[in-house]
Amino acid sequence: MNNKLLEVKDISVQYGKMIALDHISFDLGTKDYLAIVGPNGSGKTTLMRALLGLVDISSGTFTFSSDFSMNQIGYLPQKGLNNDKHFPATVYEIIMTGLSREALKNKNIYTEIVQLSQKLGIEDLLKKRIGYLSGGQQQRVMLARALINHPRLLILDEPTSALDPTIREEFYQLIKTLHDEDEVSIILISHDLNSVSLYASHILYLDQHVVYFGLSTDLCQSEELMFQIGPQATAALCQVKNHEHHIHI
Amino acid sequence: MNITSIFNLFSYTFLQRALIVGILISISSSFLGIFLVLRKYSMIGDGLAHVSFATVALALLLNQSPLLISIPIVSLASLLILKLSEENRIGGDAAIGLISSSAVAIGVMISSLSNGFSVDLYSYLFGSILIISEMDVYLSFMLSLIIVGTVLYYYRDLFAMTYDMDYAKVSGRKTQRLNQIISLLTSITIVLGIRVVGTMLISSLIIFPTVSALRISNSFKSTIIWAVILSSFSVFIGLILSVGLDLPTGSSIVLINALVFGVCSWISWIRREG
Repeated sequence: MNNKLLEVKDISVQYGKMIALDHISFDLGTKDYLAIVGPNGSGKTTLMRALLGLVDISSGTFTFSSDFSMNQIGYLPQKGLNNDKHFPATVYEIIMTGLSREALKNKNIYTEIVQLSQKLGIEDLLKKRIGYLSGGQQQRVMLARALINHPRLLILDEPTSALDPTIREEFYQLIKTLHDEDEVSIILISHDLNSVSLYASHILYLDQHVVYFGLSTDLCQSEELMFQIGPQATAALCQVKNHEHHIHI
Repeated sequence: MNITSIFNLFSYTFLQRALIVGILISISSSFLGIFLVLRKYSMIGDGLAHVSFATVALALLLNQSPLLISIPIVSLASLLILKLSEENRIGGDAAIGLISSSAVAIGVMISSLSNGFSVDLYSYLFGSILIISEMDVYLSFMLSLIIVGTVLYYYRDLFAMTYDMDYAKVSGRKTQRLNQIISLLTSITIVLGIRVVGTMLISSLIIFPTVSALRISNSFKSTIIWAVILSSFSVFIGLILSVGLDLPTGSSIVLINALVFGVCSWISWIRREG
């Protein structure tokens, strides 16, 4: 049974007179992989920041399940939050910032970091300066920071925006593996509906309001979504979905 | 100035006090500098120094101890700058500009009430090691201990918020409280430091050593350690040169810091090219 981890009810966010989010509602189950998709300025990042407590909501509520606490969230920001190439920190130091004060008392923390970095393919980079790594390597380090505290929910904000297509697919695959094998719930923000619809179990399509929320397999049945994204994008999306369907068969 | 005359200088009590206070301030400002410089907040030192100029003028007008008047007012000003910049309507640099220019205006107004700039106020503007009392030495020692102890205790949290403020908030760190702590500690360092280098030059003690250390170090911790070493060295040499050659103290320390920065930049260039 897929228990409810997060319930969002009628959330609105307003900046002065500008409405950034208009009465958004959706649920997230403990086994869900939700992709939040929409065009630029549709409110995706605002919604994520509201859920993380970084933006005040004007109305509505969101509640996590009673056995969940905010420090069980792992968060992967967009590439480039710290653009300082010369920031004097090693990869190891950055991963350590993902740990809570209690977790720092764990004597095996070094072994844990090494094991996690092996899993993410960054074990050789631990002593390197973060600013000297490539975009893909930096994203893996940020993912390691998000995972080191063993989160139950991983929130990723356009994690692949700075990556080239090959590495992008690898990254999506890595997230999918985390979701399937480690049973981490995922909220992934992206503007690339075609790609994420291959991996996510649920899609929330935003344009300030909810255009579509449901199973990713049912995307092509939503007339409102098809109207929103236009005939060309619809054709491309449904081709991808049909292809996926054939592969599964 | 020969070796014997340099050694003779150390017998002067005022120089001993200046060296102790100067090095303690170097340590404190180096521990804070990295968090301010990397968050592009280093000009807060300059802004608070201007505020301390007004508070010193007020203390001299009221015939009170400048330290007792300066520490609470400069601390409040630092919290006000923080509040203004957190409200997102005013950027950090603009908030610093607003507070510091208002403070200088108030300082000049006060000094005109007391019939113009006195020698005392001038010595706080550009630093004078002659005004450092025994009490200042004890106070500097205690406050440096507090600053170093606090930074070490919150090191991981401060590091996390310096790298990524949003992530630090999401991971449950009390970022607002930590910001306030850093602001208050900076205020105290500034107030103590103006006695050695003066209000006009104190921000250089926060900026120069960290920026120089960033050129030659690889990790966050080593940057702090290098900043402490470079800053203490600059204060030591600057003070000796200032007393030995009868040069202005603040200027001597800042120019040595500038020289150290040049050397560190050169080392960094050699490493890159080599």
